[in-house]
Amino acid sequence: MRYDVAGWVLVAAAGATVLLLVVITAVRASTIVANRRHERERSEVLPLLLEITDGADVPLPGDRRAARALGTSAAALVHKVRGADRADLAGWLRRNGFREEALRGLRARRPARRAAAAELYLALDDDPGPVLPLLSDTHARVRATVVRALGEAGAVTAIPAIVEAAVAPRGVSTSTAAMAVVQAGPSSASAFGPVWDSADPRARRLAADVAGHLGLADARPHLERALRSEDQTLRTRAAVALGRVGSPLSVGALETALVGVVRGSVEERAILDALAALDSPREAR
Amino acid sequence: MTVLESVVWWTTAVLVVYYLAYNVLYILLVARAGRAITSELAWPATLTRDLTFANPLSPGVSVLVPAHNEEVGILAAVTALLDLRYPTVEIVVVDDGSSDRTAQILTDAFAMTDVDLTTDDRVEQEGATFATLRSRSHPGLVLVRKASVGRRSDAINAALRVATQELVCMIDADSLLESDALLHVVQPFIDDDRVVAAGGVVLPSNGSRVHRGRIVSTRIPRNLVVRTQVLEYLRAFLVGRSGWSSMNGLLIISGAFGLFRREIVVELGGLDPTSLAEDADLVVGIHRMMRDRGEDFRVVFQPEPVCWTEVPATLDVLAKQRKRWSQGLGELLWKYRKMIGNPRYRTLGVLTLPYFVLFEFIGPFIEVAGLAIVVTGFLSGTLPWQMAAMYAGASVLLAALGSLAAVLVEEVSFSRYPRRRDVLSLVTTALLEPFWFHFLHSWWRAVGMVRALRGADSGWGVMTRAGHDEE
Repeated sequence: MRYDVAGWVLVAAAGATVLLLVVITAVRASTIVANRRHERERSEVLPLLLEITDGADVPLPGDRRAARALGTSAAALVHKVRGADRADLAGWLRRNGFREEALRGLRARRPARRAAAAELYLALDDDPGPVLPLLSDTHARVRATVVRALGEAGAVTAIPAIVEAAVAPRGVSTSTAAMAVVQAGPSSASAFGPVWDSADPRARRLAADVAGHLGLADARPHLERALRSEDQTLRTRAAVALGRVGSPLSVGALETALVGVVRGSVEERAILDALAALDSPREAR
Repeated sequence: MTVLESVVWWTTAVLVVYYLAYNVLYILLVARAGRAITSELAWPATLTRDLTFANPLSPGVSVLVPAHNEEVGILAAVTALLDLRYPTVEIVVVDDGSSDRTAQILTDAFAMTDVDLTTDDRVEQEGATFATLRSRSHPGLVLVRKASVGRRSDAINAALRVATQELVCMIDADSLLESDALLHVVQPFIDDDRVVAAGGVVLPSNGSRVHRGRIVSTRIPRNLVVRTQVLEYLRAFLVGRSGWSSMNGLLIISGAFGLFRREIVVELGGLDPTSLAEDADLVVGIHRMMRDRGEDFRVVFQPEPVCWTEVPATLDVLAKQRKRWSQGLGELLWKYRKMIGNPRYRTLGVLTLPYFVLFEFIGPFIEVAGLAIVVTGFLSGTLPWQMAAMYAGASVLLAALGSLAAVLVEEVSFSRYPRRRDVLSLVTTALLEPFWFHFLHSWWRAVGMVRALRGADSGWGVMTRAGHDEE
């Protein structure tokens, strides 16, 4: 019996070893073949991409594999270039049906496909509407990708939705949302819309952080109102943001906020720093 | 049945059960790791890293570099760090009582001048700092010169005290990071507010070609000692850490490349200066602190970012390193013994720590004792040679299987060794390893564990570096 067990273990281990060796060999062989194919496709696609970015209306190749290779490369490149090159690539992708393909991809079963489709769609269309439902996608990575892509596309109208996603139970991290809003680059505090009146202080904190970082002067009334919030973190962030915005008109609101603040607290430090930034320094009490 | 026969029989039975349990757990880890990596690779290259690089809100990173007699590699290492593709990087090099030209090389190359730095006194430091310098050519580069107390952790703490960025990246002085490594390993902190620590893959750099501190061509070296370590690192990182991370039960983030939220490390008081396994000690300490506070958190492992490090090329140096690591692990398990098997600490308490006790701490003793008894049984005729041969054959094949599984994961995922002969070399090393390295390693681990039990003293390891081939 003991011989049987030892024998079975030996045979199973030997079989598994041989199997693994065969699989490793097969994987290496397929990697070599795939790499060669990619190289070949790349050399075929590169001149066509250069023609497209030069403004030529290159027809989609008749061969399905070549067409897919060109489309995939153009879709990847459209995110990496700027200006006229990007406009030419986006125009070519739109003319060849990639916008519609991206729209279909937003409903794909595979999360990675939905995310890639959202990125591509936002590179080809100014209206972020069709991708906004993905902000509550079941897959966290899809939600994060969509938020980033909205930021990269400069979708200022989507900012309230991005902030909302940052405070939703199934949303995105505050860092992701804040970075996306900064990337979107709103020029006015009005881009945050209803966020300034949100009942959730986390949403207003994010708006205060970003407005301060971007130095949005018209955010001042919202930030001064936030100094009177019941949420200490929001009050602290608002003080920091007012310091960054740098309007001397905020000195009065900051001095009023300083009156009731706990001595030695982070909030007091933030207000004192903000006053110092506004050329109105006060001594710590 | 005689007494000797009974001892041999029961020992064999215990060994069979023990190895069966080990291999079942290992297969589970391979499966988890394979699934985690495959799922990661299913995602196409998206905009994520480009946007992180371009965004002014990306968290800053202080890279902490403890250096003790590192004159051979320090210049290449710092040059590579200065070229990292990341928006906000501060580099804090700590010259920990070097007797060679480590500090002088940096001072000359980067125009370092004396400067006063603000220190965070929440982190204690034993060896006194006698100079702090900042580079005139690269203002983000700081050098701290301090007296050595013989512990890497004290050097890291000295760096931590002056680090100013939100995240701290701990590496070794000979670590060479891929240019995008920080972008990769920072991403989990951006994507998930709960992430407090992240580690990346570390692989041996011996035999590879380097240009301006960056690996430009990877190859498996001819030296069997180094080749075997490549295999070990693939096993440990691609299988072990990916697998444990997928269950949020990661015990170790390598000291050669790990990223942490600075505030969390500072709240812990920095690294334990008495620990020889300060990297694992930090991670387990974080697990304990966060669970005791009832806070949700994650410690993650990123399989893609790579840090290359020079590993020992001789058995003598390797033996010292492994004994020290093993001693450190033994001390760590004793320090955190109350967490072992404690469901309060979730996966780490009920799975990872018991695994390390059973297979890392006790393992070497069982192997050495088991081998002695099996040999005795074989020589005395109480263990039939056919059975001894079958079990020996099965043990060798099972050990090789673990390594081959790691090679397969590497081939399927990243294929970082492009030459065909490299794969062949890894496969032959995997088949050879159980015949020689396995026994040596078990012995070194056993010695380290005995030192841990005796509470022996141990300091910085002496690592003779050969440097790299420059292109």
